[in-house]
Amino acid sequence: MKFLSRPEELVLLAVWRLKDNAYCVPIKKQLGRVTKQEWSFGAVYDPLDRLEKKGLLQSFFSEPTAKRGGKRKRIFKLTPRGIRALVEIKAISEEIWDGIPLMELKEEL
Amino acid sequence: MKPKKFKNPPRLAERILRHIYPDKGHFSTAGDFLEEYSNVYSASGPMRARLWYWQQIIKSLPGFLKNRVYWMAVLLKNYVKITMRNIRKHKGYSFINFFGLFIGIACTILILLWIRYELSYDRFHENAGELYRVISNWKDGVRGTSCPGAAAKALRDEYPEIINSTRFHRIQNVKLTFQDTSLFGSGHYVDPSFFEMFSFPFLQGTSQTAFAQPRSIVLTENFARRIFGSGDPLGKTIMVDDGAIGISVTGVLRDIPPNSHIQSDFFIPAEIGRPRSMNVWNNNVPHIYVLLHKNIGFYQDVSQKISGLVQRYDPEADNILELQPLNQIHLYALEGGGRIGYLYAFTVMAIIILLIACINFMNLTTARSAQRIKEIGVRKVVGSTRLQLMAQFLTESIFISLAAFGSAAIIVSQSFPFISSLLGQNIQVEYSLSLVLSLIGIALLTGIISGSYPAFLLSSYGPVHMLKKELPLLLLLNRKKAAGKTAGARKSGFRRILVVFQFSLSIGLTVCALTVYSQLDYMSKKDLGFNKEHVIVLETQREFRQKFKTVKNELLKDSNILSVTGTDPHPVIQYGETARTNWEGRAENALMVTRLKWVDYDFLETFDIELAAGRFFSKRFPADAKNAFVINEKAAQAMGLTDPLGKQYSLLFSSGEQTGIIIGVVKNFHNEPLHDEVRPLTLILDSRARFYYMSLRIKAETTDILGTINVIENKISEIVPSYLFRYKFLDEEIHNLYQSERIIQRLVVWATALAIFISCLGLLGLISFTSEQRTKEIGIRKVLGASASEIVLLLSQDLAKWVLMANLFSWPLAWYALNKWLQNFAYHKDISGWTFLLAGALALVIALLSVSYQAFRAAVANPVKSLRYE
Repeated sequence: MKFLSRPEELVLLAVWRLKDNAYCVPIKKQLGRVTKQEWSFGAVYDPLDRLEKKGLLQSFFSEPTAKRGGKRKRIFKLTPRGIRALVEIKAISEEIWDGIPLMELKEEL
Repeated sequence: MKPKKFKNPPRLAERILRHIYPDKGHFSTAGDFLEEYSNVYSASGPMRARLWYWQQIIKSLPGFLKNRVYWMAVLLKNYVKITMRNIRKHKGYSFINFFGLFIGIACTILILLWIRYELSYDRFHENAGELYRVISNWKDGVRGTSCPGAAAKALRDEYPEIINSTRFHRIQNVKLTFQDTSLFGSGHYVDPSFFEMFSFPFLQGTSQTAFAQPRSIVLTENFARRIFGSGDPLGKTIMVDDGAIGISVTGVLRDIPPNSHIQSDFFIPAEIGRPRSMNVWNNNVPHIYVLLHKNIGFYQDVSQKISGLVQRYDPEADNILELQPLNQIHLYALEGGGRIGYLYAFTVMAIIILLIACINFMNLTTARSAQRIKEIGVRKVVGSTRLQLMAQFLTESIFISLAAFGSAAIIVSQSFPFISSLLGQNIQVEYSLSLVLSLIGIALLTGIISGSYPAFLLSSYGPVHMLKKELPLLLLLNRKKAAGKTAGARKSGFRRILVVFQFSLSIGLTVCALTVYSQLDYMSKKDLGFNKEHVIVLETQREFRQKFKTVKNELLKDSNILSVTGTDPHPVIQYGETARTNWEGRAENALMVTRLKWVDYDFLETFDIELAAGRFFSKRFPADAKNAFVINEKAAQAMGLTDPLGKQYSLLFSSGEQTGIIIGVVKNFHNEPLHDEVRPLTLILDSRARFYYMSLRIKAETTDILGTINVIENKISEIVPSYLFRYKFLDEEIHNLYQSERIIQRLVVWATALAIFISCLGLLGLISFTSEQRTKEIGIRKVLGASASEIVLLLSQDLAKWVLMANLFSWPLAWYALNKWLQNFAYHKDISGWTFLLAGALALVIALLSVSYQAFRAAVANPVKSLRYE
C-alpha cells in the first residue's frame, strides 16, 4: 500500500479514536490537543477528503441538529482498508522506533 | 455563568463561505464552522468569535481565487478553440455574423465620433462653463443675438454675479491692406476683456497688452501669414477698408479651431469700430458675452435678474435680455430645435443598425444550434453547468464582436477623410483613454447582447434530448409539424419576431429616408416668389458703394446683362434690421415688427418678384425717395389692412421715425431659409444707392457665362480699381443654405442602405440554412410533382409574411418621428401615404431578391441527389 502522509496518518487515527462522533470539529480539536497547535478547517478537510478518495474512510451525513443551526454533520468512519492501514502503520512505526531510547535523543539536543 | 444571548456569525462571511465551499448543498462545512464559532464564542466572547470567523474566510480566499482563475483560463482556451473551429467549419455564416457586426460597429464608432465632435464645440475655453451669450427676447416672439451695446458695461458694473463682459460685432468683407497686399477678411469688433474671457492663445503679443491702445488689430495666424508672408507682423501698420489712418498689429492668435462657433480673421477694439451705435441703449447692434462667477448655481437666476435691464434705461425697448450658455450655442438654435435633434436622431440610428446586426447574430446562431446540439449535450453530460455553457456562447459572440470592432476601428480610422467630406464637415478626433474604453465597451456590449439569447436558449435543453438529437432537431426545424406543442417551436417563433422587428426598423428608416428626400426636393423646387436663376450677387465695399450708380450704368451697357440692382442687406437670404411700425388706422394694441430692406429702383425686375397691388418705386415720382414704402402681403395682413395703398405708415427707429405712404404691395417672397415663415417686410428706396450688395440678372440665353463675368469684372475694376472682385450665383447661395439638411439626407440614406443590407444579409443566412435543412422535404415534394416555382413560393412565403407584418409596426413610429422633424420647417410637404407603401414594397422586393437565389437553387436541385444521402 502507498504510504500516508503524516497529517493523513494523524487524521486517520483521530477518526478511529472518536468512533461515532468523528466529524470535523472534534477531529480538529483532538488534533490540536495532541500536536499542541491549532489546525485550520482546511488542514483537516483536506486529508479527510484524500483518505476518503483512497478508500480508507467513508462518510455519511447525520440528521440535522439544532446546535449547528440546522446543518448536518459529515461523519467519518474507517473502512476495513482503513483499519488495515492503521495496523500497518502501527507495525512500521514500532519497527522503526525499536531500540531508540528517548533519553539518548534528548541528551543530544 | 450563563453566556449572554448568542449572536450568529457575520452574515457576509457566512455567505462567502457558502460560495467558495458549496459542499453539494449539505452545508455540513457551514455547520462545522458554526459549531466551532459557538465554541470560540462561549470561550472568549463575541468579538473574538467574529474575528476568528473572518480570519478563517480571509485566509482561504487567495487560494480559492487562484484556483478559479486558473480553471477559467483553461475553459476559455477551450472555448476560443471551439469558436475558431466553428468559424472555419461554417465560413459563410460566420462571415455574415462578422460582417453585420462589423458594419454595425463601424457605424456606431463613426456616429460616436461625430457626436463627440459636435459636443466638443466651444469647450476648449478655460472658462467654457462660465461663459454665456446674452440674447434678446423680442416682444413678437423672435429671439436674436443683437443687444444694446451699452448693456455690456451695465451688466458688468451692476451685477455682482457677472465678472466680465465683452461686446462682439461681426464685420464682413473688410479690406485690409499692408503695402501692396490687399486681402478681404471677416473679423469682429471686441472689447479688450474678450481675450481674458475666451482662451484664444496668443502666438505673439499678450492678451493684456493687445488692446492697450485703441488703434490696434489682432490677427489670426493664417490670416497674418497671408498678408505678411514669412515677415514679422508685430508692430506693422495695416490700412482698413481704404481708410486714411492705419492701425498696428499688436498680436497674432493661434488659428481658431473649427469646433468654435466664433470664427474670425482678426479682432479690432470696439472703440474704433462704430462707437456711436455700439454705445447706446436704443440700438441693438453687437452681440454680448459675459463671464459669470464660478459656483453661481443656476444661471437661469442670473438670467432672470438681467431680464429687465434694457427697460430701465430705455423704457420703450421691446427686448428682454437672457443668458445662453456658451456650449449650447452650436447645438441649440435660438428659436428652438437645432443640431441637438440630429444628434439624438443619429444616436437612435446607430443603435438601430447595431441592433439589426445583433439580431442577425442571434437568428443565425440559434437557427444553427441544431448542428451544435451534440457538442452541448456532451458538455452537459461531462458536467458543464448551465452558466458555463452560457459563458461559452458569450465567449464566442464577444470574440466575433471584438474581431469586428478591431477591423471596424481600422477601416474607420483609414476612411476618416472620406467620411468627413461626406459630412461636409472636417471632424477632428482626439484620441483619449475614455474614448477607447467606451468604444471597447460598446463592442463588448454588442457581443453580450447578440450572444445572450443564443446562450440562454442553447443551454436550456436537457442533455438527453440533445444526445438523442432527432427530437430537438425535429422541434427546431419542422415547426409546422410540431406547431405550438413544444418549446422548440416557440423558440423559432421568437426568431420570427426578431426578423419582423429587424424589418420594422429597416422599413422605418426607409420611410424616413424617402421623406427627407422629398422634403429637400420640395425645398429646392419650391417657388420662392422670385427667380433665383441667372442672378449674380456681388458684395460691395466702400469705394464701390460711392460709385455704385456709375458702375451700374456702365454694366447695363452690356447686352447680356438685363438689369442691375442694389440691396442692403443681401437680397434674399438675409434679413438685416427690424423696426417697429405705426400705421394709419392702427388698433390700440396692434403691434407689428417688420424686417427692412433698402432697395434700388429695379429690384422687382432683377428678381422677377410680382407686384400684388399699387406700384413700385419709380424715378417718375421723386417723392418716392423720401416718403414711400412698399410692403409685402404678409405685412398688409399683419396690419389688418385690406387696402393698404395710400395709407400713412411709419417706421420707428431708435434715432427717430421715418414716415411715409404705402405705395405698393409685393407678393410674398422668401427672404429667409424655408425653416421660417415669410415675415412682414418693408422695402425702402435708397436713392443714394449706398448698397452693400449688387445683384445682376444675366440673360437666360447667355451661353458664355464666364465671358460675361469677365466683362463685369473688367468694367468694375476700371471704375473702382481697389475692388477685389468676388461673385456668387444666387441659386448656389440658396443651395448652400440647406447644407445641414443635405448632410442629414446623405447620412439617412447611408444609414438606411446599411440597415437594409444587414437585414438582408441575415435573411440570406436564414433562408440558406432552412433550405439546407429542408433539402429532403423539397426532394420529396419534387418527386411527388411540385414545380420549381411552388418550391420557391414555399421557401419565401414566410418571409413575405414577416416583412408585411413589419410594416404594421414601423409605420406609426416613422410617422411620429417624421412629423416632429417636418415641424422644423415652416414650409413642408405633408407625409404621403405612398411613401409608406413604397417603403414597404421596397423592403419586400429587396428581401425577396436577396433570398431568391438560394430559394431558386434549392428548388431546381435534382431530387435524386438530395434524397440519396440517406
